[in-house]
This record gives sequence, structure tokens and C-alpha cells, in this order.
Amino acid sequence: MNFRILNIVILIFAITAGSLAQFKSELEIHSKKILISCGYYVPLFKDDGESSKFFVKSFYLDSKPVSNGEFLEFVKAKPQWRKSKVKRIFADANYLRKWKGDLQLGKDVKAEDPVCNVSWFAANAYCRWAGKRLPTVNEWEYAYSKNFFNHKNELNSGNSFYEWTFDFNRINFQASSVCGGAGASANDPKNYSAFLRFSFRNSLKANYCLNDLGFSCVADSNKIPSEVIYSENY
Amino acid sequence: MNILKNKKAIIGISAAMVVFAAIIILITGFDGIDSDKIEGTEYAQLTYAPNVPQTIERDHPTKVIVKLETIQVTGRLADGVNYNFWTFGGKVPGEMIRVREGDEVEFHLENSPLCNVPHSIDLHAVSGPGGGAVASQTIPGHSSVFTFKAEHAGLYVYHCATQPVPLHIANGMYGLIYVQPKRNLPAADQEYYIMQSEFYTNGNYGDQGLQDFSLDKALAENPTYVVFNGAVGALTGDNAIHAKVGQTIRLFVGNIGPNLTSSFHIIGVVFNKVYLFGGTEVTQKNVQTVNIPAGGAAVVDFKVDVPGTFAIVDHSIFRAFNKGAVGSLVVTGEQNKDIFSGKQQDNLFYGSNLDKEVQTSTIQSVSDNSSSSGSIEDIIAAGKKVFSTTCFACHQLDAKGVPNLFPPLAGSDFLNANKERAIGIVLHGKNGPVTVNGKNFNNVMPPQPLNDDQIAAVLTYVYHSFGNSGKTVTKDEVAKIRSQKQVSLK
Amino acid sequence: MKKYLIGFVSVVIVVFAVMIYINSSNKTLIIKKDQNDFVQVNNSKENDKESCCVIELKTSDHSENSIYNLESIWKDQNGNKVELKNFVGKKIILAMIYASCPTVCPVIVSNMKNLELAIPHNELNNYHFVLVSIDPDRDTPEKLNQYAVERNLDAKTWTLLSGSKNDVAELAEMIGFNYKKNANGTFTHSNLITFLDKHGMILNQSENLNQSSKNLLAMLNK
Repeated sequence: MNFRILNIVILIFAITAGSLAQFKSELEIHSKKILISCGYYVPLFKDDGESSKFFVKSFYLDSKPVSNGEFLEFVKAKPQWRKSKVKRIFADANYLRKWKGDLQLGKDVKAEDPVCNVSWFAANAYCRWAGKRLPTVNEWEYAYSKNFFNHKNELNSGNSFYEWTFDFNRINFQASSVCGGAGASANDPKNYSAFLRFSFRNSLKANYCLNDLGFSCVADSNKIPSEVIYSENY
Repeated sequence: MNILKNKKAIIGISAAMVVFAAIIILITGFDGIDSDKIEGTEYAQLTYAPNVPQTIERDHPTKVIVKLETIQVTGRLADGVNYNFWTFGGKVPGEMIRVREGDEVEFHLENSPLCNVPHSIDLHAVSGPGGGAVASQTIPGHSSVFTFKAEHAGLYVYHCATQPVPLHIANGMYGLIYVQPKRNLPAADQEYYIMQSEFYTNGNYGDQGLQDFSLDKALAENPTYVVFNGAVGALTGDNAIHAKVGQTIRLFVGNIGPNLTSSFHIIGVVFNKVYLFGGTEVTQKNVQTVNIPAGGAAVVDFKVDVPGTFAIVDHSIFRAFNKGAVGSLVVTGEQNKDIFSGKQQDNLFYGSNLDKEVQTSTIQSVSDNSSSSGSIEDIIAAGKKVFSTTCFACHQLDAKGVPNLFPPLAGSDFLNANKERAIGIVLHGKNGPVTVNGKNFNNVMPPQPLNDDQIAAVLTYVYHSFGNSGKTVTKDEVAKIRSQKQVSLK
Repeated sequence: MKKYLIGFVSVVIVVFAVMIYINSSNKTLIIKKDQNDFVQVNNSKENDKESCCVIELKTSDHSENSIYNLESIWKDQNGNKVELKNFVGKKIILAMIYASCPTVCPVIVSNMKNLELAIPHNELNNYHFVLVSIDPDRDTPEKLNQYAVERNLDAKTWTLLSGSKNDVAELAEMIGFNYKKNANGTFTHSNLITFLDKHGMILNQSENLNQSSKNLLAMLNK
């Protein structure tokens, strides 16, 4: 009798633990979506010499960059994005460079880590396959300024992680990324980390696949929160 | 009036022609008129500081291929201090490039896949958008190629010009390019490459470990380090530059800043010729100190007639004394007492009527951050550093001293006889006559502002080197003698 | 003595004139590119130094670098569905524009029309002119049709496409066209005419608004 109860208890415990573990590993590979409430964002560069601000609508942001595990599901479903199948015009030869094969990550690539060495075309295709889209630069920078990303660009450390944005080379493309006097055209000339991201984006082409470059997806939200989390006196 | 029909006029013309021919030949050195046609292709020789690429002997322009790789490396900024440098070619400053006026330069900028930001290059020698920066904007794992004509002879700075530009410069991305004039400057016996720059770290000068870039200090233009050739000590000790007495020395000096103007000076040297701002004309003769603006350069020629070690400094002198802007030029050869006598007299002086107070100096102990523990090899290595920054100035790098002035430490009977006495002398100094290896000396050694670790290390190094007795001096022995106050040294 | 002086002075003048002449002729330089030389030198060094880092580009493979790899579906000015690969077999002259553009786009279109006139009539069948709108919100097929009629763009040789914002962005990235919508409804954008070969590979691009039709024809037939 006692044994039977004990067995049942053990069984229940095992099932719970197993499913919890299953749930946990799912969580590690898959991100949750976070609601980024609407608000104002001051871009790095002034608009035609004028200080400017953008109203960013509410949107859902992935809680973390797309992982290798998630991207693997994508290439399983879409063979044309596999390592050996992808066309060079969509992704250069560094595409998924660290992966072992079309459908194998290899032992050095963790499923829960952010996927890197993916082109803009591939990132964009993934987001659309997942029913989402790439964030705009304004959305990305707005979320970054609200500390919704856990990765930071340190000014001279060895670790940096960048993310694709939908319009990565469109914001202020007439401003050269190499002009020394660019400080004068910036809303905050001391925001060196934003300058780094700006010049990085401006040096990209859409088929580049780089070691430190991944992406997060966003989705539109119709929710208008009762309280605006970000308000400034403009 | 018909000049040619006149005999005297013809003689005059002939005489003038001969004179002119002589003058022209004298000026051009029989070179005639150089070809301006581009012939052939070659790779540029690149050198790391303090070395300069060899003089280009060609008499015509050519196509020159330059390849520079941008790479981010963690390296030494000062003893025990590291920094994440962004570099051209893996070192700070970047490799020096030498081309000839009129050359067509095909420039390859390769950004290492290990970098995490895009880089580019702005060569001040280039006429074109951004000095090449727009054309060379390169993401990690890619390379860019652009071509320019080396139209303007002179010495120029190059640097990375990717946003944010000040950060790329502050992290170490700069070097020099020399466009050798068609008619080269007069030959020099020794040529060296020196680049001054600043570093801004969150920690103070000397704070140990990996230091982060400080934006606040950079904005305040208050550097933690001002250095020659990328690090404290990168132009002293084993890295000093060398010449022989009587040789002509030419320095190609750049200053990138990023903020400060340099007051470039060599103690005990007068620059015979200065090509100010890196131009091709001698702008002044006999100059003591040369201003080099941030993002500018200068070429200086001089001769040294007496042997010795000459300190290269930024004469904005706190930078030299407290921030690292010191280098050494070691000149070897025969003494020349006509040029410099050395100290001829040392007489007692009781003070003028103006002197009412006697200032006493106290020994400042240096903060305790040098290597304190470790193997005997580590201690000897640490001691060697102390020796080559402090003791060598008088006792010389080979520890043989200077006859009649500074006693030898190499194979010294005086030193080997009494370890405690030696510790005491380093701690408290020594004044008056002493006999070493049978030779008499009468001079002053000041107390050395070193801590116990440093004294133990330097004495252990000296005892283990130069044919000495191999004694080991410990920190505790130094501390014990320090606590005894002034013992009798005589 | 006076005559010696005259002789001397006259020679001084002549010599100075010659020196000034030589000096000025120095500045007109002749650049001769010795392509073969370079390739040889380059290869010998490149092999040992760079083999690890060179990204292999399969440039010769048409299928790899053709913009017809885009699978997007567009609408022409008559509302018919069009895929880019429908243009296979013809040389394409392509520009991205928007119909309400007050300044630059009309110049681009008239440059393209001048190019059309410069092509011999019997060869026109080998070419096709494509305008892609970057303003899908406003540029409906009807609007584009009106645009074509107003400008006498013959539907036999001209196609005006509209598509989704995503498809426009992908095509723009592929040909290196930059654009940004401004607050007042206009766009800031590149001035670009792109020439494609029969397989959809980029042959050439013109970024200059003041191109003669002769130059454009030369770029097209590179």
C-alpha cells in the first residue's frame, strides 16, 4: 500500500520534473515576446540639422535574439535557406559558418545561443516565416534605450553583438559613417555606443554574414497601454 | 642691335652658359630630369616603430601595393597595465609606409574577421573624400581596395576614420606615411619612426590590470597616459634608439593626439634642421623644441657629437615625468671634451644671503604595486626593469660605470663585500669618496625613491648579473635596514 | 663690358624660361597601368599569405548572383501579376522611382527614354525598361498606368511595377538602392539606373543624372 502511494508520488514527481525540464529547454531555445509600450525616441542624428524625435508605436519584441535552435527549425522548413543551398546573392560564403552542416549545429554551436553569420535576407525571411518582421532602426534603438536588450556594446571591449534591422542602411544614409565632424549633426554627440552601431550598420550589405551579427524579431501590437512608460517634456 | 654678331656678347653668353650648367648640375646631382612615367609594380615595405622603411632609390614612379590589416589586440600599455588596442597591423603605432612622390598607390585595407567593428583609413597624404576613408570603409572579415596618386611629398599621419572617429583614434589606430620627394632629402645615417599619442583609461596612471577607455577623460582632454610608440617604455631600455657619435640622425615624428599638441624635445640635443609640419623644406636651423599638432608630423635632422643617453620627451614636462612621454637615444663612441667637458669642479657652497631656509626632502615610498612575490627569475626580471629605468643613467646599462665619475657595479669588490651596506646606499644615498676595484670616486648618489620590493629586486638582479657574487636580497632585509634609520655609511 | 652684361642677362632669361617649362611639364603625368605585371606579383604573394581569408565568390555562376532569385510577385501597370524572372532573355534597364517625385525621378525616366531612342529600332525587342515604385502606398497600378500614359511609355518596352514594402526593400538591397521616406511624404533616394543582362545579373549602374544617351548605351552594351 505504502509502496503503491510512494510509486505514484515518484511517478507524478518524475512526470512533473520531466515536463518542467522539457519546458525549460524549450524556453532556452525559444524566446518570449515582450510588449514594448509606445513612446518617443530621440534618434542619433538630427533631421536636417533640427533636433528631432520619433513616436514609436507599441510592438512586441522577442525577449532575446533568434537562437541557433530556432533558426534550425526554419531551415528544416525552408530548404532554400540551408547552408549548401543558399544563393550567394542572398548570403555570402560565411553564411552559418560555424554550423557543421545543413541540419547539424556541431558541438561548438549551442542551440540556445543567438544565431550568427546570417544575412539580412535570411533574417528577414526567417521573421516572415515566423509571422513576424525585423524591427526598424527606430524600434530597435528605442527598445535598446529602454534596456530591453541584455547585450551592451562596450566602447573597447572584445565583446560586441549587433542585430540586423529592417532599414539598417536607410536612416540618414546621406550622413557619411566616416565624417569626423559628425558629432555636430548628432542629437547626443556623447553617445559613442550609438555611433558604433550606426557605423556598423552603415558598413553592411544585405548579403553579409558576420560573426557578431544576429537578429531579433518584432510583431505589431494594437495594444495602447494605459500608461506610457516613457514620457519626456518635449 | 644685333647681339649675336658681337664677339664680346658671344663670349658673355658662353660664360653664362657654363656657369648655369655648373649650377644646374650641382643642384640636380647629375640626375637630369626624372621620368614621370609609372613603370612596374612593387609591394611597399612596411616597418614597425621605431624602424623606418629603407630609402627608395628608384628614379621613376611605380605602382606600389600597400596592404594593411586592421585588428584588435589586447596588449601592454605600461608595466602590469593592459588595454584593448585597435590597431593597423597588430601594433601601436601602425606600420610606417614609404612611397615616392608620383607613385600610384593601390591600397588594400583588410579588416580581420576577429574585429567587432568596421574600420577605414584616412591618409593625410591623399587628396580625395575622407583621405580614402569613404572608399576604405570595411566591415570585419572583408577587405577594400582603392588607388591614389602620391602627389604631395612629405610626412603624413594616417588614422582610422570610422564613426565614432575619436574612439578609433583613442584606441590606437594611427601611423605615418612618408611620401619621399622626387629629390630626396640629404642622406641621413640613421632614420627612426616615433609617434606620440594619448590614452584615456578609467583607472589612474599605473593602475594594474586591463583598463577600459574613459570617455569622460577623453572629453576633458585629460589623458592618463602620453606615450611614444604606443606604450610606456616603448622607446626606452631595450627599445631605445641608437646612433654613433658624429652620425646624422633623422627622426620622422608624428603626433596623433587625439587631443594634445606635442612639444617635442630631446634633452641635450639641438635639431640642426627642422622640416616643420612634415613638409619638404628646411624651415629652421638650430631648434630646441618642435611643436607638432595633433594629426601632424615633423622631420628633424641632428648630429650628436658626444656619447651618452639622451632623453626624448614631450617638454610639456608633466607628461614626460608623470604620464610616460619619455624615450631614449643611446649614442656610443669617443668622448669629446671640447664639445662637453663633464663636471669639472665640485666646490663647497654655503648659500647666498638669499637662502634662509633649508628644505629637507623626505623619501617618498612608491605605492606597492610591483611584482612582490614570484620566482627568482621573476624577481630578477623585475629588477632588470628597475635597473634599466633608474640605475643605468649613471652606472650604465652594462653596469661598468663611467671612469672617474660613477663607480662600476659589474664585478665590484665594494658591492660584493657587504650586502647590508649596498641596501643602505640604495635607500639613503651615498656622499663622498669611495674606492671600487682600486679606483677612487668622489661623487653623490641620491637616495632612490624605490619601495622595498623594488630595491630587493634590483639588488638581486645586480648581484646575479655582471659577474657579481650571486647574492639574493629579500624584501624583509630591505625593510629591516629601512627601519634602522640612517646608519653609518662611511 | 656692357655687352658682356647684355649677353649674360639674356642667357639668364632664356635659362629661367627653360627651367620653368621643364618644371611645368613635370606635372603632366602619364599613368600607365601594367595590369599583367600586377596580377603576377599579386598572385605570388597572395597564395601563401591570404588563402585562409579570401571569401570565395561564385561570380561566374548566373544562378547564384541573379536578382531573379527574388521570388516576389509584383503587379504591372495593367494589374497583371509579374515575377522578375519573367524578364529572362532581355537586357533590362531598371530604375526605382515614385510617381509623385517632383525632382529627380522625372530626370531618370527621361534619361531612360533618351536611351530607348538611341537603341536602333529593330533591336529594341532585345531590351526592356522597368520602373519599380518605392511608394506602394500611393502608387497603385492605376496610378502607374496614368504615369506611363502621361510620359508616352510604350507598354511593349516599359513595365511599371508595384509591390509590397518588403519586396521593394529586398530588391533595393539587392541593387544597392538607398531610400528613406521623409515626414512630408517625399523620399530621399539614390539616383540609380541599373543594367541587367539576360540572366538578371547586374552589368552596370549609372549614378550620374547628367548621362548622355551615348554613355548609357555604352554602359548597357559593356
